[in-house]
This record gives sequence, structure tokens and C-alpha cells, in this order.
Amino acid sequence: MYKKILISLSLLVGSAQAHTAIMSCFDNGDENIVCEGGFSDGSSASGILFFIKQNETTVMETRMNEDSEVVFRKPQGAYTVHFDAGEGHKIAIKGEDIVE
Amino acid sequence: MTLDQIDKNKTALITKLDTSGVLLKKFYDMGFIEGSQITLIRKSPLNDPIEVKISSYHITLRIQEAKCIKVRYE
Amino acid sequence: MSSIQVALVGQPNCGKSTIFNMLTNVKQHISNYPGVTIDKKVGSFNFLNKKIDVIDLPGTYSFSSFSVEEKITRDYILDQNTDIILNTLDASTLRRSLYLSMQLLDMKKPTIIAFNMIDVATQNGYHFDFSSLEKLCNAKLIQTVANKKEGLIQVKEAIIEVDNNKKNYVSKAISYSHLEKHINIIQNLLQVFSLEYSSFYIAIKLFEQDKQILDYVKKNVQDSDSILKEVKQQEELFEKEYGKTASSHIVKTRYDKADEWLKICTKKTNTKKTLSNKIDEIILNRFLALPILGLIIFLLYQLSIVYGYELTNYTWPLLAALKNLVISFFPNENITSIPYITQLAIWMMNSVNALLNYLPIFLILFFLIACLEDVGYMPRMAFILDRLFSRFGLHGESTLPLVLGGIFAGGCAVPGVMATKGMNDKKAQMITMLTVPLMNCLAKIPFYTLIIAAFFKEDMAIIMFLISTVTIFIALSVGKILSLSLFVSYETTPFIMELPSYHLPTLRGILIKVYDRIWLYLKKIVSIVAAVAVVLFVLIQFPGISKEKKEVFDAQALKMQKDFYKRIKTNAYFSHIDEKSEFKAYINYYNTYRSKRMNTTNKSTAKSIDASYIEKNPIFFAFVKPKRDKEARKINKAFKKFIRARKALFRNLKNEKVENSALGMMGKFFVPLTQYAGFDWKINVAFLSSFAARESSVATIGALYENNNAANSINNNAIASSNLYTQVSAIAILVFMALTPPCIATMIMIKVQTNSYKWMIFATIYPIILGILAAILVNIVGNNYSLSGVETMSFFYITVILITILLGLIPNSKKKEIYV
Repeated sequence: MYKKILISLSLLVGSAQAHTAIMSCFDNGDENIVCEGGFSDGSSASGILFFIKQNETTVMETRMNEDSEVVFRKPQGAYTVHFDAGEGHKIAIKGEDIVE
Repeated sequence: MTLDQIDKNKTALITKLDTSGVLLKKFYDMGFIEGSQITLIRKSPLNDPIEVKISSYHITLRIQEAKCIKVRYE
Repeated sequence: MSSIQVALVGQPNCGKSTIFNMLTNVKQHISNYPGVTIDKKVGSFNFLNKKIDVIDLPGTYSFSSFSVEEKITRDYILDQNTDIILNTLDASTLRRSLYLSMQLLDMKKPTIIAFNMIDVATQNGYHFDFSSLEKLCNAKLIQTVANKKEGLIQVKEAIIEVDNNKKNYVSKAISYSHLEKHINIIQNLLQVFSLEYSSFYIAIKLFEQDKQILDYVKKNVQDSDSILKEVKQQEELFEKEYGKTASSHIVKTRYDKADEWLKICTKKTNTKKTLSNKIDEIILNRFLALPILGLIIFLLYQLSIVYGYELTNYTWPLLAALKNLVISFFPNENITSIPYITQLAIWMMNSVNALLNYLPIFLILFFLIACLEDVGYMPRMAFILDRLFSRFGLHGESTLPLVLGGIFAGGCAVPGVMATKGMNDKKAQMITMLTVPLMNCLAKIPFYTLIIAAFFKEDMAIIMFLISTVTIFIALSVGKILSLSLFVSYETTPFIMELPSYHLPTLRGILIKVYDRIWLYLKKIVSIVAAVAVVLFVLIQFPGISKEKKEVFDAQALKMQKDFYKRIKTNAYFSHIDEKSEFKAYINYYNTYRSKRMNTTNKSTAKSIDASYIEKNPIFFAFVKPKRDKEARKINKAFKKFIRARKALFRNLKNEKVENSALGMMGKFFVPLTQYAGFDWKINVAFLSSFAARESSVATIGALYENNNAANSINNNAIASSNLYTQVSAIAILVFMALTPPCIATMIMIKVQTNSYKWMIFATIYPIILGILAAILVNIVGNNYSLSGVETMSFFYITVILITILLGLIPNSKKKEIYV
């Protein structure tokens, strides 16, 4: 119980960060999608959690590489990509919005 | 008896202002003069400062300051 | 045509500023009185073909020489070319409001008295007979309800009328009955001299023992000693005869006169509680007051920081677009280097954008604070927590500044310091300003997260909790120490504060406040931080890397290019990119395209960006988006490899530069000291660079520890796996970070509020010293006793709490002697 309180308090604390998270994805046209992440203050997003969900299940999970990028094979059907840098810094982009 | 010692919601009369300098002047500015009527409204949740009513307005002051105001019940 | 000079005078909370805002619309201007940090608000308006200048003087309860506000107000009315005094008073607190008015009448100048909040007074059963009152004092009397704009025309008309008939409206001073004959004697002695003030006024003030008038007489009156002796004699005569001092008689007379005026206004005895009183029954209730305060603070945070942050998701693309636009004016990047001037532009834009990114948060925050202020909640906040804060050299009014600085989670010291402006107790104001930066500022949080995630995976929650809650105790302790040492000789101001009735704020009043504060932030802070960013840039760039290292980098750069060319030598498109100028053009094309696309998630915008880039150079576009074109795809792949190598090259170059730079040298310089805290030169540099903006500390640490080898290197683990740091030293880093000043912006704000570089420098240096000592202590104890991270943190926490309690037990000062 007390651990739960501490965790939610620390999450409250964690949400108060001053930089905005950004991510943008392109369809390369060669069956691959490239997603590049970053922060408004110029901090690198390398190592940040990145995962793809289809129908509520996670089909792929990895971390942004040292260039703050993830390259992955375009999944069949509807999907969403998620950039997760902690509470308040999560971005989700729908597959159908990723254009070439 | 000093101002901090009166009971809540009771009205008293100021008999003497036992201080000088800045504090005395501040009392004068706020209408605390001999002969004025004053009522204790409440104490802060931490018991200090206190809120009093004088004439038609409310003033808060620390107990340390209230101790300088000598009062008596009418 | 000269303008009419009107001085707006009144007690605090009487609605004077509302009238000022209504009269002058947006034609107002704020500056400073020379030598003091009090706002000088002037504005003007036109009416019936005349121009009227209004100055909104600071609110004062009366005139004396005890406070700066009173001196300024009185000096202005008496010395300057004031044509008309416009006295605003709260009609529902007449007995006290008139105390100031009586003193204004003593000054014998054309006077208008505006009875404001007449609606509340009528509700309480007052009925005003203005014609009788006017006969008593000779001033022009009008009634207003300023926040509903009622009576505004009458004010303007009154000003014109009084200006046309000045003599008729010169105020009649009140009669001081038994003291009059003594006053006359002194008046006669003074009449011989030509003085700026009326002899009557000087005589009265001498009997009131007004220090400023006393000094004036000593300076400007010949043989002042004999006059002053005479004053003393008259005082003694009066006291002997009537049993009280001349000054207390003067005070009593004024209140008696006010009572006389009140008798002329019939009043039903109103024992019914007013609405404000009823609200206070809840807000100041013994058991509800603290929870309600907590709720209000929570809402303040939630609405401004959390929702403001969501707003930044929309404003950030605008800032990024601005950055791209500015950079486009600078020289393009070269193949293996970026021109210095362009690097500088990028660095500047990053720094400025980081500050501008706060604007949505500040807009909401300032709006909410202005609402709280105008509603009248602030004195209540002070009432609730004063006992706790005054024990530690602070004040009930310090509540809001400390909360804004970050009571528990991300606050910001800049609005925190701004909020100390209205504090009446100057000693507490200074101490609050110096302790607000110790609180949990927004920008410290990412740094905590970085370190804690790296070293304390399982104990993350508790360490975070401890480090964010220890700061308030540190602030209290430091406040106490400051009040006992540096500020021990400062006068204590009486707490006595009015609890005004609750008022519905006017939108205009709030917006004006928000505008003022945002403008202050932009004007003073963003500009200076930009300047500092330039300095930092220079410190990092120069003297630069050694010749040998440069040769190594140059060789690497050359190899990268050769590899790229080797890969595409046989490519169909080779001729389009084989020349250096073409290669350079493509690199810039690629970068600008990527940053533009990064900035938008909108499909149609994306399409139009693509269209414009296809138009610019269809071949280059094929390289970026090869699709089915095999040859273009090969170029795309080779280029990706090149770009990756280029990024790595820049990273390494930057690291080398920093190590050899002036900043790096400073970092190394401090190592003999900081090693006891477990800091190496890289941490020192990170702290030094984060001084410009705390956020950049994360980027700097990340940059310094990035290793290119691990394919999935994470900033966090990089530090942990570098094996130079233990859990104990991580705690030392956290402690140092918690204590050190947040950023240049706050220091600038302190300089603006105190008008002194001395305090700004002190506010910068003392936390650093405190931080280093604390970090050293933590490091030594933790290592000596082989404590774990959590144990070390707990040790620190408990020590701080004990110190706070002990300090709290020391009494502030001897009671009766503090009032000078």
C-alpha cells in the first residue's frame, strides 16, 4: 500500500517536466517505416521505449537507437506506434496517419 | 487582560496600547485606539495569528502583537 | 494645453487600482521610483477636450516616515505639480478609511473623494448625505462601484469641475480642538520662512513626531533647534493639561471626526454576517482551512503545469518552425563540419526556445494567481500558515512564493520570486526570495529522473519522494539561519493585516496583471539568458581541440566521405551527387526536409511539404524517399550510413571540445574540492553548463556519457556502467542538484526585485557552497559506513529534519525590543 502511494507520488513528480516530447514517422516506401524521436530542449531520445500495438496487443518492443530512430517493417492491418518517455511524455501515432 | 486573552465572539473595549514606534503607528492606522470596541472572531488553525473585528472590518494580528493591547470587557 | 495632474491615493484594498485601470484603459505605463523597487504606475485619458494624467500611488493606510510607500505617496502629493488629489476609499469601512482622508485634508489641496464599493456599504445599511459631508470638508464627493464601472463618468466630470474651480475645492483641515492653540504658536514661528509645505501641515507633523518632516525642518529652517525646543515645551504643556500625548490626541481626533461623519450617515445596526464572513467560516475553519488550502494548491499545479504542458504540444511546433526559419538564414552545413556561426544560431535558438516553451504554463499560472489575488484569498493564506513560517524567519505571505517554487513537485522559481513582490515585511521578503530557489523547480525533475532511473531501479519511488520533500525543510532551515545571521539587524514589520471582503475579480484587472508579468519575463529574462547562452557557447568552443586530435578527426571525416563515394561509385545517379557542392547541398536538403516533416503530424501539411521539396529538387527527393527506385534506394542506404557516422563524429568532436574548453578547464579546476563529493570533472561541467538552463544538464550529461559502441545505449545506463559512480555518489549528486540555484533566469529575477547585484551574487553563491558541503558530507558518511543509496538518502533526510526542528526551537528575538 505504501509503495503504491510513493509510486503515484513519484509519477506526479515525474510528470512535471519542462520539455515536450516529439516524434515523427515516415513511410519509406520500401516496406519500412522510420520513426524519429526527440525532446523540445534538444535532449536525445536514444534509449527511450518504443513499441507497436495491434488490437491491444504489443507486437514489437524496442528502444530508440543512438540516432533516436527506430526502423521497422510496416505491419499488416491497423496499428499504432508508441513513444514512452514516462508519464506526461507519451506519444501515440496511428498507422494510417503515417504517410510517405 | 490583553487582547489575546478574550473569549471567542466576545466584545471588549481597548483601554491602553502598551507599545511605541512602528507597532503603535500601525495600530493607529487600523483604528485600534483607546475606547474602540473589538471582537475576537477566530484563531488560525495553528492558533496564531488571530482574527478580530473592529468597527466594520476584520484584522489579523499575531498574538505577540495582541499582547500589547490592554482590554476589558464592557 | 497642459494636462491635468491627478494623484490617485487610497488605502490598500479600496479598489483604487480598479478605478485606475478603468480610467486609463491600456494607456498605462509602469516604471520605478528612483532608488526603490516599487512600481510607479502612470496613465492618462482624454475627456471633454482635456488631457488628464493619473498616477496610481502605492496604497497606504496613513502617512508617516515608517514605510517607503508612505514616503513616496506623501512626497509626490506635496512636492510635485499635483493639481488634484483623488482619494478613493472603501465606503463599507468608513471609520478606518477616513483616517487617511483626514490626513489628506490636512494637506489643503483641491480634493475629490470617491466613495467606492458603495453597493456593499448600502447593503450594510449606510446612507450617505453627501451635501452635508461636503460642507464639512470642502472636497468634492462622489460615489462609485468601480468593478461594475458605475460612477466612472462622474469621476471624470468631477476632475474637470474641480480643475476649473480649484479654489473652491481646497480641502478644509479638521480642527484639533485643544491642541489648536499649541499648533498656532508653532505655526507663527514657522510662518517667517518660505517653505514648500504649509506651516500648518509642518506644525501638525512635528507634534506627530514625523521623522521626515523633522529632518526637513532641521535642514531648511534657520535656528531649527529653538523651534524644536518650543514644540517640546508645547507638548509638555498639553500633556500636563489633558493627560495624554499630543500625537495620541491627534489620532483620536481624526477617528472622532470620522465618527461624526458616520453619524451623518444613518446606519442600521447590522449584526447579520456578511457574505464574506460566511465564506470565511468555511475557508478559515479550524479543520477545513488546511485541506482547502491544499486543494487550492493542487488545482493551481494541475491546471497550470499539467494542462499548460499539454498546451506546449501545440506551441512547440511553432517554436520549432521559428527555429528552422532563423537557422535558414545562416550558412548551410558543410559536409563534415558546421560553420561556427550556424552552430551558435542553433545553440541560441535551443536555449531561447526552451524558455519560450514555458509560456503556456506561465500564462495559465499567472492567470490563476491573479484570480486568487483579486478575489482576496492571499491574506487568508498568510493567516493560515503564518505561525509555521514565522518560526523560520519567513512569513505567512511566503506561502505562495514557496508553493510556486515547487512545494512538492515541479514548480518554477521565477514566478516564485516574482510573487514576493507584494510582501510587506521586507525582512521576510528578502529571506523568502533567497530560499525560493531551493524548492523543487520543474527543470530539476528530469535530472532526478535520469540519475534515479540509472542507479535506483527498485527504490525509485522512495528516493524520488525523499529528495522532493527534503527541500521544504532545507528552505525552512536556511530561512532561520539567514534571519539569525545576515538579517538579524533588519527591522521586523508588524504582521497586522486586513482581511478584505471577497470580491469578484474583473477580467480586465486580471488580464493586465498577466500581461505585466509575462512581459517582464520576456523582456528581462529571455533577453539576458540569450546573452548568457552566447557566453557559454564561447566557453565550450574555445580553445578547441589539440592539433593532433584535429588531425585524427579530419582523417575520420575524409574516410567517411571516401566510403560513401565508394559505395555509390557505380550508381546511376552518381553524377548528381559526385561534386562536393552537390553533396553539401544534399546534406542540407535532407536535414531541412527532415526537421520540417518532424514538426507536423498533419497529413495535408506533410503532403505540401513533400510537394515543395519535390519541386525544389526531384532527384534529391528520390534519394530521401526512394520507394521502388532501386538505384535511389542504394544511395539512400549509403547516405544513411554516412549520416550516422557524421553524427557520431560530431558527438565525439563535441566531447573533445568540451574537455579542452574553458568550461572543461573550469570543471577540472574544481575537482580537488568536488572529489570529496564524488564528482569528477564531467559532472562539474554538466553542472556549470546547466546553470544557463537546468534542462540542458540532462542533455549535457547524456552527451558526455554517450558511448557509440553499444547499439542500444541508454543515457541512463551509460553513467551506471561507466563504473565511476556508486549509489552513494549518486545521492551526493542528487543532493547537490537539489540545493544549487536553478537557473540564470531566477538570479536575474532576484536582481530585478532587489535592484542590487550584491544580492543576486549572494543568492547564486551561497547555495553552491551549501550544496557542495552537503554533497561532501553525504559522500563521506555514505562511504565510511558503507551505506546503500537508500540508507545514505535516509541519513541525509533525517539529519535535515533534526536540524530543522532544532532551529525551529530557537526563538526569533526578544519580544518588545523588535519594534523600533
